Amino acid sequence: MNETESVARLREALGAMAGTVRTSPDAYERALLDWRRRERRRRLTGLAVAAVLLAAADGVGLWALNRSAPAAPVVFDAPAPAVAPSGAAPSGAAPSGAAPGPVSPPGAP
Amino acid sequence: MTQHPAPVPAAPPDVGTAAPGGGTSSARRPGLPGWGGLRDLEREAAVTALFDRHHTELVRLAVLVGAQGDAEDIASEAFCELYLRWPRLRDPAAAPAYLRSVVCNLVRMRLRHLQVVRRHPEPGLPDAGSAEQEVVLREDHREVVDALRGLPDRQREALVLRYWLDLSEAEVAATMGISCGAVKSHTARGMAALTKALKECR
Repeated sequence: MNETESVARLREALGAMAGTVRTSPDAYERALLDWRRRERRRRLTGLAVAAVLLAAADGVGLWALNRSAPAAPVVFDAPAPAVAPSGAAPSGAAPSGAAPGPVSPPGAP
Repeated sequence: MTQHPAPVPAAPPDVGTAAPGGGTSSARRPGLPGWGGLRDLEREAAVTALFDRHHTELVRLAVLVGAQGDAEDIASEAFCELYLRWPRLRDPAAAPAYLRSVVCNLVRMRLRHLQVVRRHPEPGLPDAGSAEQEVVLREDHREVVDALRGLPDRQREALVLRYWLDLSEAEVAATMGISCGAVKSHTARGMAALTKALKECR
């Protein structure tokens, strides 16, 4: 038996064997339910993971806030700038409307 | 082949034929997806069209490459994988090749699992062959099928894809995830082993 004959027999046998395979009529319905169930589970898993991450981040933040001393800044290190009373310019600031220019030393003409 | 109802939007044009369906069978539809938007419906329509055209072929492919009783489950699993990965599919025309590839991989995994199970036999395992096939197949066909079952997995896959689905070597290589040279090698070795086994049968 040469290879051409083997190929012909193989094709014939594969065709015959494939012809015996029958699919069930409700295969589509079962597959469709399975697709949807898996998609729903995937989305629920994603939501659950996101919720857990959010809760963990919240917990870490609350723990850090709770652990620090009341006076110590947690988020920003720099002290907050002094707020001047309304209408008064902060000390050392140039009066409004004055053009910035070279500062002359005291006693200069 | 049975035409199945598709969700409302038609399949994308490059997926192929229009989505099947008809008003008469709408009662069989299990219901629209709960959270799905328009994209989900389009995806479902596209996968439904693919299911109509390729499901039987994939079940047969699974049987020919080695699955027996669970060939239909394997084909269904392949469609589930496609459904989940549909948004990441670059070209919908590549979906049939993807499905074939998934079926081959799943059958290979199942055969490996069965090899492990057979090392630790338990009572009540399903028999390897289908009774219907044993009865329906002619004697000479059965010889070829038995010889084919005796081949290594890769050689059997290469022969089935090459000579039953008539795929080109490049397509077989893409389906099996190997190079064209490896496909040629598997095919040649498989044919040689098959010819030898058939000669011994005579």
